[in-house]
Parts: sequence; structure tokens; C-alpha cells
Amino acid sequence: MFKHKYLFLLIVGLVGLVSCEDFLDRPPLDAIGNESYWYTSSDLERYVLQFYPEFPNHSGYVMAREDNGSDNLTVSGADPVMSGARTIRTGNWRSEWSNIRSINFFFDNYSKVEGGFETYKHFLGEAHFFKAWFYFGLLKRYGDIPWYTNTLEPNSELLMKPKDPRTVVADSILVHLDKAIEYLDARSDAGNTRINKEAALAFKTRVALYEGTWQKYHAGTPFGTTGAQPNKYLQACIDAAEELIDGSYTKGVYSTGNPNEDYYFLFGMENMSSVNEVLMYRVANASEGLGNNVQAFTTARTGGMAVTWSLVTSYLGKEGQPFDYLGLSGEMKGNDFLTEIAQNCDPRLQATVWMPGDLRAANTGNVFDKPYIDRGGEELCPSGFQVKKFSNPDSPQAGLFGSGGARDSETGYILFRYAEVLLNYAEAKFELEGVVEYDVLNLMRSRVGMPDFEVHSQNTDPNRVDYGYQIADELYEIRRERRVELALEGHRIDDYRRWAAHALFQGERPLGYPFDESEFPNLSPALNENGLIDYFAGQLPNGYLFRENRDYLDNIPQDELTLNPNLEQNPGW
Amino acid sequence: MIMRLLFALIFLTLMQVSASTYSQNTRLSLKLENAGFTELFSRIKQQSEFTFVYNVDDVERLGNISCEFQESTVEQILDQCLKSTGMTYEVRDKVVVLAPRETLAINKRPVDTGQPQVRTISGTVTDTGGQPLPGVSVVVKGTTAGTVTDANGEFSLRIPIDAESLQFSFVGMRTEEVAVEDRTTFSIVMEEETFGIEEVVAVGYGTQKKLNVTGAIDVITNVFLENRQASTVSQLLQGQSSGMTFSVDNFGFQPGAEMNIDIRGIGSLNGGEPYILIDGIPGDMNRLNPEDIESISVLKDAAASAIFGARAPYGVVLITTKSGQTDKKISITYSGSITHATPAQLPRMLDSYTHARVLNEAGENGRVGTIYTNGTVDRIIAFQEGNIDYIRQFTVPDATHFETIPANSRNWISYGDANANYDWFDEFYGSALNHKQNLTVEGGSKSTTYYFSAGFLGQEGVLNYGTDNYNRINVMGKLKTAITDWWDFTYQPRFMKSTRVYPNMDRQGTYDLIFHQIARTMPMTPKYNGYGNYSIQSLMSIPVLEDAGTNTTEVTENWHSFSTALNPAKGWEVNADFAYRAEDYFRSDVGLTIYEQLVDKSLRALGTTDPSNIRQRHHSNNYWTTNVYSTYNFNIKDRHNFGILAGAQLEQNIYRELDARKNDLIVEEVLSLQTALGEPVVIEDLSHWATQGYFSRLTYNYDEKYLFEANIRRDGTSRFQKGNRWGTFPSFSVGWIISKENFWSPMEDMINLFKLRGSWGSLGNQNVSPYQDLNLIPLQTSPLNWIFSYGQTRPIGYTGTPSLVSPHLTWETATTKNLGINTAFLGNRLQADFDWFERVTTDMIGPSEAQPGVLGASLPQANNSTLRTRGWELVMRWNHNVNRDFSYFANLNLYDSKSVVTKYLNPTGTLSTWYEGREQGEIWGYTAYDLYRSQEEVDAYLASVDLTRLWDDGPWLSGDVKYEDINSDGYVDNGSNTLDDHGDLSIIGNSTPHYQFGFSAGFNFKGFDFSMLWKGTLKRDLAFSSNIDENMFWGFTVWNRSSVFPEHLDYYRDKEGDKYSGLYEGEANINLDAYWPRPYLHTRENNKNRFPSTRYLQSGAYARLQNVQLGYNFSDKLLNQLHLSRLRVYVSAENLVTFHKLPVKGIDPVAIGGSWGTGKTYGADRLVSLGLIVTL
Repeated sequence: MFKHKYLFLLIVGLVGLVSCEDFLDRPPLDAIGNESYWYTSSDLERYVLQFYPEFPNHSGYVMAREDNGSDNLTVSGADPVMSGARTIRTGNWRSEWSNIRSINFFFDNYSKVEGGFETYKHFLGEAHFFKAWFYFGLLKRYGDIPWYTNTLEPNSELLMKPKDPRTVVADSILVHLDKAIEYLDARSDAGNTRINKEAALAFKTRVALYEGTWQKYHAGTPFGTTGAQPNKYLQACIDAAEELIDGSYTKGVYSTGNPNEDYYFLFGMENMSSVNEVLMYRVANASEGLGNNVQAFTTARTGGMAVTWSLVTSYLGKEGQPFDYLGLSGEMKGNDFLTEIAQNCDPRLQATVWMPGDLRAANTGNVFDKPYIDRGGEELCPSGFQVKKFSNPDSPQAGLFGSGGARDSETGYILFRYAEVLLNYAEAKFELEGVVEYDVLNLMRSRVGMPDFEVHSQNTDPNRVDYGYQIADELYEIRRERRVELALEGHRIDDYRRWAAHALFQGERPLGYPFDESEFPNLSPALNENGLIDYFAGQLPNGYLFRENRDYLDNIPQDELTLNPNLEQNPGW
Repeated sequence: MIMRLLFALIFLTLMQVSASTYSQNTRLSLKLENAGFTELFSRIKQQSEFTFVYNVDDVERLGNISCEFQESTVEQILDQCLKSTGMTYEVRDKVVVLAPRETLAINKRPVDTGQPQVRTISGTVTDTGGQPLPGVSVVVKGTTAGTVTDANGEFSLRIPIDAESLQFSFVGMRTEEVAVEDRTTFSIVMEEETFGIEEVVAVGYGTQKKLNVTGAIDVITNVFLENRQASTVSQLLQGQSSGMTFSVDNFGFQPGAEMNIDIRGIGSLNGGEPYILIDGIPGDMNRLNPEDIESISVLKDAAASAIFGARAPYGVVLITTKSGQTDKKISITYSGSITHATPAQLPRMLDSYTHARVLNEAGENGRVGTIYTNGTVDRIIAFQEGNIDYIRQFTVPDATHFETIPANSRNWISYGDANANYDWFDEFYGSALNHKQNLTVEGGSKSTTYYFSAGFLGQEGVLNYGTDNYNRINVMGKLKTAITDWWDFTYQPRFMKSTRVYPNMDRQGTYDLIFHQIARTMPMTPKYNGYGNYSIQSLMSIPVLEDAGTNTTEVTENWHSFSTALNPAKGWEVNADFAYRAEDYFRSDVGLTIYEQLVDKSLRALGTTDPSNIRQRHHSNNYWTTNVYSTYNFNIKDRHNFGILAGAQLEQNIYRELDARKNDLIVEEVLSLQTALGEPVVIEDLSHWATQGYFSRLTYNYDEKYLFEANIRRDGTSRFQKGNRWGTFPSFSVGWIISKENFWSPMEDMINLFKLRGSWGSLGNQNVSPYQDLNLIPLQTSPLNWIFSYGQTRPIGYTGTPSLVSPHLTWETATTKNLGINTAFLGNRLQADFDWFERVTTDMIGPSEAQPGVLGASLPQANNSTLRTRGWELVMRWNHNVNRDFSYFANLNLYDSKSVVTKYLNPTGTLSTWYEGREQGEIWGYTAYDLYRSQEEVDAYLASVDLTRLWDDGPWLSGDVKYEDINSDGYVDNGSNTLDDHGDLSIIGNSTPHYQFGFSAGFNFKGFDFSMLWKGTLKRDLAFSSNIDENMFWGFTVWNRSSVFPEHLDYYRDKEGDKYSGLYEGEANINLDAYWPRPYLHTRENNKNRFPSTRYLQSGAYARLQNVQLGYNFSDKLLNQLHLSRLRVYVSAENLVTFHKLPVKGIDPVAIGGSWGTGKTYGADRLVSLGLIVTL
């Protein structure tokens, strides 16, 4: 019947309504779901790109400031770690783990990519590198930490897991670095603004040396490592360094035959792409909003930075012999003192600290006349040893402090340079085998026109530093060479920690140069018994009070221990 | 409805009465097997022109018949079929009227002639509108003697001498009983039965007899929607139904304002609004023309709204639009009104001299010091005195205006140190003339009805400067046609176009900044510079409103809905509909540069307006939905009444937006992206969602005495992932009409109705933002902070890590319980309904429990909080038709509810967020009874109580607020600001409106009608913060944001005044007994007196006369002469008066908000209008 025909149609329509289950699948239209990602190698590349900005930067200040917190450099306030002033932190450490989460997310997903391994090998290598990079940061800060392979979800049991021993963490980092080294393109393909095989090798020497020496020198302290195998790591450092040194890689020590300039110019360059020594660096570009204040803080202001007497006096005389700085300070003060050491010491000193008469800005002809010990705030250099390293008189920004602190300098930021690898190698080689790699060390000596590396008796060093334990004269000199060559490049804090060398500064105050009141008639800084500026006399009456049973590692924030009772607080906290 | 239909049928047919022989000449053949009488009638109708008129109930009771006829007359057929049914019929031309035998019989044959004691009476029956009512049954009470009224509503009847009373009854009308006494003529007015057994209310997917409803449903008829001037439906609903809370956003009652509505309190801390359906299709009530609305059902409990499942946890508003009526000749109605709008309550500014002196005094109270130098004050005085010569010495030689003087060779003093004298409220606010026009064409034939309407609303804001208006065009059509008697179609197009234009404040703020700036402009601020051109302040001035560009929003909405209903068998109906909405939204924000004329007559661009800019946003928002559902109603043994409904719904919405902007428009005449030179910035926004739902309802009642209803809905939504996207939501309700029990009969005359209701239901809330449970890769289209090649630019395009998702994220669930009583007294004149309810929203989205930080990401919110709302509603209605000429009514609704958070993750118990047990609106504050009235009092108090933890930014002085150390620990402080340690804080009040009421009353007298509607809140507390933007309340804040009104002048003064400082000169200035504390002009100083405290806690209670209307309907006599069927003129006023207790009269208690502080928003205008309705 005709009525039923229409009813039938209606029922068919109704069934039609019911049957389309896909109707409710409404993926986002202007956002990409995780399941639609990870198809091509460029998906992997775009993902790892997010981590590049995590690398350090000259940013607001200068790389030199990264040595603040060591015996190389100070700013106006005493470092809380060195002075034992830290307290237990409240809150959580979630933000410190966000990069770990992000990189683990890569490893959870990358294998979905369609297309040959060759197409994404390099990006996978970058991811391995970043995982190592982020975990190395946590390892240095906390020691034992939980190692996570995969992305965690809320309420996962793994959130409650106890810390993994640092050996596990360090071994895992090295595994990732081995993968990175295997997969990454060589610098000749990737360039030195991108993670490359050479940079990964260099990083491996850094990590392995750190771990090997940490395990060795902290043995028997609260930071001693259960199942320590320092030699294994030292060997890993040597292996990686030898691979780089002996292999056919793009590397070298930057030398144009101008011993007075090469070392200095290296750090103030803008374009480091063709410098073989720079294995990897960060490019600046002011018009892209990626400028920095390097020239402002080295050629116009100071950022409050002051090189310490301790660093200056570790430079040898230009004949390769220890230099009696203290003796000189009895005879000469102020600019005279600076001029004298500039002439008579390792040229790397003059490349690191401003000396009277140095050209600061070619465009204005501005010349350094005396340190800013009488200035204030961001222009103050209380020690008299004003940071020169990273300056570039030829930069158009030299001598300027941009309007409102605009970041107009375009000085590159070196992340890895070959000289560090050489020094890592030399140190590991001696630590493990007792061998001094003279040829390697001389590469850096000869660049600055210094005599060949030589081992002196520590006892003849008028500026002898105390590591708190006995070391061989050879190692003493190797460590000195490292301190000088890598001065203000951000390695010194790591170095004293892995060497367990708080004795270097314990009970002492960072000192400045011999003050000449005729140069600053209206200034009367605190001076020590030798007439050296003693800027921290008030702040640190008893010198640094590093708590050696506590301060080598940071504390885990309180809330985290409550949330995860299986986490153990670090020693001494 | 049924009544109207009958009326129309009978009336129209009988108009052409002639002694027709049609019935005798028409021969019919038909065969029925076990079919209902309705089937019989429709078969007869198919073969003839006969129309049947009957009471459905009467006919349904007859059951089924089988019969066969060949070439028979209608009489033959009916005689046989109605035999022994107790029914009889009467054929009047082509109309067959069926009625119970006792009703019709007497008219055919005289009553028993053996009874001599009879006499004849006659009379007319009309409805309240004076229209004659044909077909009314008139029965002598206690007998079977009776008749029905004829086409003119007239009757005549022979009755026994001893008859006591007559009963007049008619479907849909309240039965009238009239004593006979010795009258011979009767004039009866019958009222529509508002609570009659036949009254139906709209429920989800259908209608129900109101009496059988078991959920909490309220019906709003169009009485208070028609002929009103408020622009949107949401504004019109205020006060009309209990349980509804209204609020405005920061833009207050701006032209075209839409109000936010909560039904029965807040549903969730994450927001939740009622679900609005227009003729069964979800829509926006504010886009409707109020004149097109027939009625509104408000479904308040889960039992009533459960059929809508996850859309409707927080109540449903069902709007039914008007339709044409069958067999009604075309009727054309024009209605129009013009409205005069003025601001309802404006504050008054001080004159400039007083303002200067009191500000100086306040400044000198603290660290700010004197504000206005003696020189400035002297100029202010001179200007007020008209001493222009005095001012001339400070200004340029060719100055023509003297409200300001040059500050230097370039700039005019444009601000506080000028010497004008304005009340800027007066200056900026004026009035507006608005109008509204509406044209309706409606009618219908037997098979087709139509309703077409077009409306225009033009609303201007009341500001004197700048463009601020709202216009709306509504066009609607509804065409319903019956293809056969069991199948009909309805097509309903609806079009809306609204345009809102207001001054572009975007570069400094939004629309409400206008009101902030008016309030803070000082009386001495000049309107004109020395040359008579408008003065410009950077913040706001006339040129900023007039010439700095406008924002225009145009919304065009097109609805097409198509529905069909089939009636394949008795009691069975199948419905299907499809509706599509195309919404086009266009917004154009234009910022133009304005120029200031300097002292040297050069022009300077105002910095905040330079460069000019344009932003164009365009989006389409397209939606469709389709419903297919079927109902089957049947009964067993006449007493077991069943109704079954089952159906399915699909919805889909697609949203696409492009948003582009550029700077530097080339010319002001052509405003487009194409004619702007700046860098383009383009943003796209795309989204879509879909839902799918199946629903079913079972209703059962036993003899309409015991009622039961169950609903279930299963809903799926695209907002959740597979596996989590489906939810099932049940509800149950029961009712017992006790007044139908036999034992009730003694009370029946007194208490006509007594009904108990109870319901329980659980509903989900799918209204969460989508994709919270999806791993979305954040795609960064911004450049990376890294450069891969020296000298090159930053690469663009990299991805980030997905945020943590909530894989377990699910619906919030609102479980509602409702207990209700419906009663009616005194012949249904008085009705009283009471409802108690509880709604518990569980799985409410709140902060998650902390997780170890190694997780490395912020936690998504979780379904872990609970909110409980409990409340009650009371509705009382009184209706009385005193006689044909006079009737009156009064309705009251009263409502209260309280929402308490019963579960919330706040381990420290901090008072700065929700905690378990926190009531919505709770105000924590200090206790303060008084000010220090002397310095000795201060010193004595400070000797025993330490106030430094509370405020330690200077000395405490006399006139400051004396905070009590209620916990007697020697300190006044907030402890650790937690529930366990809250120091001297305590709960001092509650800002949620409580005891909200609506009251309406009115009367009809002859042609006049009068009605009024009040709305208010009986209890509400308001605490005003120390924010500098609270200048409307406190008067004094910082000097350039103080708005001191006469209400603020009762402030503490303990020094003598002089010509330059103090309210009064000399000792008269001293006012130690002040209400307001000592004023300062520094925020940190004022702060000490503005901690929330009992002393300055204000009552936000109010009562507002929402609408009052007086109209006159011209009499039929005149109408007949004019060939009109209706002519009404009326005066109507909105917001005529508002009673409230706030100390500052200019604050609208309904529009408290405003992002710039209390009172700084568009308050409700007072609208007085004159209107006319003509129906052809």
C-alpha cells in the first residue's frame, strides 16, 4: 500500500542514521594529530629542531659569565654554591624534565616513519645527541637520577621508581652518543651550525672525562660511586678523542700564523663556519632577533664580571715558566701591573683580560685605559681584571651599548671546539696511562707562540694552587693548560666538581689586582695585606664555605620526595 | 489549540448556514474492519465535504467498529455506528457535530412534555475577548437537559422550574456554573482553562498534557514577550520564570545585549548554560524576533530534559514559534512602536571647584599632597564666575574658548589642570529614539496553514557621541501542509541579520572602556581647546568616540527546517526533521588616526591612534541536525495509558574563520584590507564536531491518577575519543494526582488539584573543548630560535611535544532530584506550585592530583570535583474573571538556591581558590564596625592590637577603618590564608543573588488592559575591592581616576577647610561622624581602608519594574466600521524604576560588572514607548 511505501523509506532513512559510526570521527582541522605525524623524515627533522634553542647562548650576557661560580670569575654577589648558602628547595622539578619527556616522545614515535633509514638517519642521530645532552645536564646536577626510556603518562608506575645509579645514567648517555656518532652526518655535510659527527665525538670526550674523573676523585666521599669504573670512562674518552684526532674529520686548531691574534680573534668572530676548530657553534643575527650583548659587555660595559686573581695567576710567563705575580704586585700596581703582565705572560692572558692600551673599538678608536673598578652595576669590574675574551674591536657593535640593551652583537657562541677535545684527551691519557701527550698540548701552545709544553715541579710555582690532594706534576700542568686555554668558556665549574677540588677556593676570597690609588683618587676599595683588591671582604669574611659533603650535588625539591617516597635525597641535604 | 480549532471550524461553517440538503444528497460507500471512529470520519471526509467536530476524548472512548455501507447517507452511517455508544450527532450543513447524547439530545426534542413545570431561558456565551462561543454545551446541573450554543454564541433552552444552576462547558475552557434564580437571560464569559485537563505543554520531542507532567516544567506565554522594547529574548525573560538567574557580561545592557541565563544556579564551575531549542531545533534565542514566539517551556529538572541527554544537564528552554491556523482566513497584522530611551540612573559629578578642593584635601591627607595649585583653582573659580578676562592673561591672544590654557608653546592642558566645568555624564549621555516594526501574515485552509512575519528592530545607544547601535531584521515563514490526512509536511525558513556598530576602542581597550573613561573624566577637563576645536585627551574624548573608527559586527543567520509527520495508525506517529543553519559572521574593526590641534595650530596625530589599522574577520558556522522519532500512544482497558517514544538524532557543525589585519589605511573613505599598506597578518581557525544520539521515553499513567515516566538517552560525541565518546543518561519520574482519588471529593471544591511529583535523572555535559584527549603535535609556524647557516634567517616551521592529554577525560555528570507539588484552589483561580531540588555535578573538571615531576609536563585537568546545588521554587498564580468586563491576575515566583563545592583538590586549604565546603559567592573579609574617630582612639587601639601584618605602609590615622581582632591574638591578619588558619578573616557575606523573585500583575477592564512585571533579588552582598578601578564606588582613588559624586562627600574630615582645600571653608568642614573613611589619593594608602570588611559590605538587593504596559483595544463596533479585526494602542515602559540600597545611585544593581570596575558598563536604559497593533 502506498502508505507503507513511504514508511519503508523512512525506516531505511532511520537505519541510515544509525549505521554511520564514522560520523563521530572528527579529527582536528587546523592541528596535526600525533597519529598523522611521523610519516616522513621531515616530520622527524621538524621535531628535533625544537631542541636547538635549548643549547646555551650568549643571550643576555656573555659566555664568560658561565664561569661565575668557579674560581675563575665573579660578579658582584658571592656564588651561593661556593659559599654553601643554598637551602632546600620547595616546589617541584617538573620543568627540568620537560626536555627528557620531549626527546623520549621522539624515540617512542620515530620508528613509524615510512622511508629508508638513510633518509632520517641524521635526525635520529640528532635525537640521540639531544637525549645525551639533556641527561648529562641532569647527571651533573643531581648525580643518581631515574633513567627513562619512554614518555611517561600520569599515574605510571615508573613515576615512582627510585633513582638509577649514575653509572647506569652515564653508560646510557654514552650509548646514545655512540648512536649519535654512528648516525650523524659529518661536519662536511651538516655544517658546524648543526649537530654533526665531530661535535658528537667531542661531546663524548666531555661526558666520559667528566664521569671518569668524578668517579675517581669522589671515591671514598659521600659522592663516591658504587661500582665505580673510572678507567672505563677514561678509556671511552680516549677512544672518542683518538677517533676524532686520527680520523678524517674536519677539525684543527685555528691558526693563521699570527700568535698574537689567532687565539683572541677566534672567540669574537661572527662567522665561524669555516673555522675548522669550531666543531659546532650558534649563529647570531640581530635583525632576526637573535643578536646578543657580547660586544656591549666586553667593549662597553662589564655585566658586573670580574676575572679573579686566581685565574690570572695561573698563566705562565711567556717563556713557559711560572710567573711571580704576587712578587710583581709588590713593585707595580694598577695599570703598571697590568701592562707588565701583558708583556711578560702567556699571550692568552692578554686575549682574556683587558690591558691598558688595548684597542676596544675600531670604529671609534676607543682604547682601554683602565679597568672599571670605580663604576657601578653593569659597568663595574671590581677585580680590575676585566673580561676581554669574546670581544671583537672590529665588530660594528664594539664600544656600543645598544639602546635599551638591544642585542645587536652577532658574535658566535662556540659549543664545541677542537682544543677542548685535545685537552680532554691529554687529561684522560695521563689519568689512565700516565702519558703526557706533548704533541697534542703543543698544538695550542704553538698557536699563541708559547714554548712547548713542559712539566714543572709544583713546588716551584709561586702561585701554586691546592687541589686538596696530591697530584702528579704532569697532571698539575695539564690542568693548568686546560684552565688557561679554556678560560671563561664555562668549563671551570664542571672541572672543580669532577676533580672534587673545592680546596681550590675553600676558605678563600676571590681577589683582584694590586690597587693603585693614584689612578682612582676618590676610591678606597677593601684591600688585602698584599694590596690586592678584596671586594668580597665584607660578603665573605671567612672566605668560601663550600660544604664538601653536600654541595657537589643539588638537592631534590621537597615536594618530589613527598610525591615519590622511593626517591632518596642527595647526600648532606 | 483544540478549542480554537473547533471554534474556527464551527464558526466559519455556520456563517454560511443554509438549509442545505447536502447531507441527504451525498451518498457514501465504505467498509471498515475494527477501525477507530477517527478512521471512519476521515473516510467520510475523503468522499465528501463533511467536516467533523467532536471532542477527541469522547470519540476515543468509543473504541473500534467494523461496518460496511453502500451508497448510504451520512445520517444512515452515523445512526448505525453510534448506536448504543451514548453519542449522538447533529448535521449542520456540511458540519457534523458529535457529542454525548445528553448534551445534544434536548435540543432536538423538547424535554419530557409530561413535565409542565418548564420555562424558557436564553443567553449568549462569549470568551474573555468578547468573541461569541458557538458549540458550548449548556446543561441544567443534575439533569440531562441541555443544548449547545449556536454560531452567534446564543442559546435558548427550556428548563425545569426548579432548576438551580446551569453548567456551561466547552473544551479548553473553564467550566462555568451559574445560578439560575429567576433570570431568563444569561450573559456568560468563559475563560480559557489555564490549568485545564486539556492544556498541553511542550516537552522534548512532543507535547504532554500539563496535568500528566511529572518533571519540573514551567511555561511562559507570550503575554510578556509581545509589545516589549528590550531588544533580545533573553532580556525579556527576566522575572518570568522561577529558577532562572540572569546576568550581563562586561558590556552590560549595550544595544542588542544578550543576557546569560542559569537555570537553578550554576551547574558547574566550568560553566554550563541551558540548552535552547526553537521548534525542536537547537538555536540562539537572542536571534529570534520576540513577536514570533508562541510560548516558552522551561524544563528545569533532569526528568524533563533527559531526552536531550548530554546537551542539557543544566536545563532546557523550549521555544515554540507561532503558526497559522487551519481554516482561518488571511489575517494581516502590523505592529509598531517608537521608543524613547534614556539612561535609567546616572551619577552626578561635582562641579569643578568642589572637585578640586576635595581632591586637594584627600591628597593632603597623605603622601600625594596638593593636586590643584592655587593658580589652577583660581582659574577654575574665574571660569565658573564667568570672569574670562582673568583667564585671558594665561592663554593665547586669539583664543576664543577659555576652558583650558596652553601648557607650553605646543600643548594645551587637556586634563586635570584645565578649568572647565562639566558634568561629563550629562555631556556624554543623552537619549535615543528607537523603533520596531513588525508585519505578520497568517491563515490557513483546511489542509495548509501559513505564518509569515518580518520584523525590524533599530536600537541606538544613549551616548551623545559616537556610533553605538544595533539593528536586526528577522524574517520567518512557516508553511504546513497536509498531503493526506495521515501525512503532513512543514517547511520553516528563518532569516536573521543583525548589525552592531560601536566606537573602536580596541587599541586602548574594549567597548566598556568608554564608560570607564566617562566616569573618570574630571569636571575641569576641557571639551574645547582655546580655538574652539574639540580637545583631545589621550584616554578618551569626543573625537576618540566620533572619529577614531568603529567596530562593526554583522551576523547573518539562515535556518531552513523541514519536517514531516506521519500518522500511519491510530496513536502512532512518525516524525522526521532536518534543519540546516548557515551562519555568516563578519566583523570589521577599523581604527582611524585622529589629530589634535596644538597651540601653534599645527595638527598632531594622537599616538594611540597612529597608525590606522583594519582587522577583518569572517567566519561561517554551518550546522545541521536531523531527528527521526516515533511515538505510539495506546491504552488498555481505558485506564492504563501508555506512551512510547523512540528516536535518533544526528548533528554536525563546521566552523571556518579567516582573520586578517593590516596597518596604514590609505584613505579613510575606503576601509578594506586591500586599501591598507601594512604587513598582512592572517590567522585561520577551523573546527568541527558531530554528535549522534538515541533516545526513548516511556510514559504510563493509570487513569491519569498515577503517573510514571522514564527517559533514556544514549549520546555519542566527537569531542571525546572512541571508547570514551558514548554515554547513557537515564531519568525517572513519578506523579500522583491525589485530588483525583475518591477520598478527595469532599475537598474537591476547595482544593481542585493536589498533585505530588518526584523525579531523578542523571545527565552528562559534553560541553568541553574538543581534543583535550588527543595527542596533538603543536605546530609552530613562528621562526625557530636558531640559524642553520651564517647570514641566513631563522627557519620557520617546527613542531613541539604534545601536552599531556586526559585519556580518561569524560563527561561531567549532573544528577538531579526534584520533588514538587502542584495545587489549585477556589475553582482553579489560585494555583500554587512548589519544587525542591538538588543537583549534584560530579566528575566536574578540576585540578589534578600532583604527580612526580619526572613526568615532565603539566597535568591536564581531571574529572575530580563535585558541586552540589540545592534550592526551591515557589510559584503562585491568581486569575479571576470577575465578569465580562473585568478580569485581573497576579503572579509571583520566588526562588533560591545555594551551590557548594563538596569535592575539590586543594590540599593546603588555601582560600584563594575553591575548597571543599566553599559556597558559591562566599565573601571573606574582616570585621569592622567603625572608623577611628580621633587619633587618641587610634593610639589606644594600636597599643593592644598589631595591625602591621595587615597593612604596614604608613601610619594609621583617625578616620581610618578600625579592623577588629576577632580571634584576639593581638594581630589583625589573614593567618596563612587557609581554611585552618584564616586569622581574622571570616565569611562576611555572599555575592550570589538569593531569593530572586518575579512578580507580575494586571487587569483587563472593558477595552483596557494593564500589566506590570517586577523582578528582583532580596538578598545579595557586594564587597568592593581596593582596586583603583573601583572609583565609582569609593569615589576617591588616585587623582586622575577619582570619580567623586555627591554621595561620596560624607567622608571623614578633621581639618578646617579653606578656599583651596576641603569641602567647606573653616570649621564647617569638620565631619568626624562620617560614613566614608579618610580619603587618600595614593593606592597604597587607600588600601588600608578598603580590605573587604563588614563596614563597607553593601546590599545588592533590588527590585526593578521591568515592564509596565497600558493598552486599549478598540471595540468591535468601531472595528467593524474600519473593517479591522483588531486595533490596539499601548504605552509601555521598561526599567521605569529600580529600588536598591547601594550608596552610589548611579550603579545599576543588575549590571554590576564591567572589566573596568563596578558601574562602568552600559546600564539598563529606561525605555518608554508608544505602540500600535492593527489586524486586518
